[in-house]
Amino acid sequence: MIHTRDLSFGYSRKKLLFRNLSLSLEPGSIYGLLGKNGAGKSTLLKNLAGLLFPTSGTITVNGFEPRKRQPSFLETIYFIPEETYVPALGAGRYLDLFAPFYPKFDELQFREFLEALGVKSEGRLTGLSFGQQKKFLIAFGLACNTQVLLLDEPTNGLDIPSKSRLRQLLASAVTPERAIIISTHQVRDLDNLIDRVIIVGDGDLLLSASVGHISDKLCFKTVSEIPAGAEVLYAEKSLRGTAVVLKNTDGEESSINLEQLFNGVTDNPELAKHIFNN
Amino acid sequence: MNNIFNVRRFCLLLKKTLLERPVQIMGFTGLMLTISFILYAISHGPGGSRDFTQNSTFFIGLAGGGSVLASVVFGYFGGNAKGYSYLTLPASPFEKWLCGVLIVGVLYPAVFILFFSIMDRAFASSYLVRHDPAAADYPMMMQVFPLDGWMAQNVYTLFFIYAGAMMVGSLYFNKMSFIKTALILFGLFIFFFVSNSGIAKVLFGDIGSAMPFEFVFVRVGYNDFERITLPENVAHAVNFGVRLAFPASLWLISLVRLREKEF
Repeated sequence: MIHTRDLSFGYSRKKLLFRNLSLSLEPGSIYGLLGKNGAGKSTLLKNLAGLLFPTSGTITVNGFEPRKRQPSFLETIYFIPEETYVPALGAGRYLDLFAPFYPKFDELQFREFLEALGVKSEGRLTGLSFGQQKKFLIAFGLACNTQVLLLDEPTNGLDIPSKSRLRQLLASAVTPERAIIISTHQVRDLDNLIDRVIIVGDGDLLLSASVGHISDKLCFKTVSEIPAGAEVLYAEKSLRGTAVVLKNTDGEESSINLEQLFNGVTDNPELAKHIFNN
Repeated sequence: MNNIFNVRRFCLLLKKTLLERPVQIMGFTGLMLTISFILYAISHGPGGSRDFTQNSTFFIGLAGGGSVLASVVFGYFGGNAKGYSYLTLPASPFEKWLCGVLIVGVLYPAVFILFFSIMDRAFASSYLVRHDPAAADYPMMMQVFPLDGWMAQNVYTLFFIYAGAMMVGSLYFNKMSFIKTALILFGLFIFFFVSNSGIAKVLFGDIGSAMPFEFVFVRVGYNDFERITLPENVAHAVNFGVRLAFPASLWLISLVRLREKEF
């Protein structure tokens, strides 16, 4: 569905934001794209959406080259950026003008999504708060039923109940034909939602793995003392002991803590690669 | 699916473009018609020159209004999300460009010229009611349609140059594109006039005035000047370049720029 090969991109040719990134994303999953501020998460999404063009390497999305911005490609992808833009129109007029461009748009679904997210779409859309506008656009993007849905920091500006509702909605919206890619630096917002994790940093792909694979390779637990000889990806002292992320050598089952995983992989990228490649 | 042009998709895009920002496109057109009417009415009053009234109103309405509108049709890049929404809308770059061209180059001029012609006729008729038709200063309607006259040679040319430049400018500059492009245009005009005058002085010595690409007045006596124009074949080539090739290039550059726009 989405394949990047040796993808390099930089806002100037001298300083590349990422180099030789090769990635394959398949339908039927929710991907969490994680990275520190400035790591290039949004830039990667914009490359996938055809808003920015690779400096070198190739991208194919649903068999298309995004930079050509062909209508048959754009019909298969919906990008919800961090900022919002809604015209000074009512919701009905918005649907009337924008929805016909998406052949699989489902108005009934859209109304259900709006209700689920608690959006009151009376009056002009510009009169809604930032969070309400964002939820309106998320509902619209979901109802377009595109094969690829790109969300950049979707939880920014949402209150706590809305974040929870959004998680439920996204979980229910993923189908075997659809891939949802969520970029965020607020990793806790994605807990129990994503089934594949992509971590980028220092211009490189630090990790791309399914949640199951991560569970197989790593063990998340709190210990009173770090076991001797263990390969420790991350350790953090807490009141109850030391929270650690260790190489899972005994097939132990544990639930993934995305924040600890992210910190471990970005702090020790070489160790992470070593653990996941062996 | 045709990825370059599809009639249904283009109609949807045109509808969306006109109705998404009704104030900026239709409201602005209405504003320009109102301003033109007020300007015409004021200049047409006692002491006003009818030729000046007609020319200035037509120039401001068509070239001035058209260039502002041209900076609006692709003016989606002042805000990030607005630009993303525009570029990722499922329509081809050609359709998006054609939509802008249709609004700026066809719909707006058609509406304005129709309005101007009606206004001009109404003022001429009202003058006729109050004055002797046999009088020497009997008002003539402005000839806006013959393409070999003054209008085609000047105002239409300026309209196509300004509008083309504004479309290109709005795709190069994300913020305040109208002001930046207007400053560049102004700078270019100053450059052409000053450099042309300098070159004419070097070539002819004592000159009165010089118009780029057209003529130079050379002093031939104490107070006499002779108008020197380009040889006919050169003038044809220059005319073709300035009045056709240059504006057409600007309009086509906007298509290329839209296709290659990164945001």
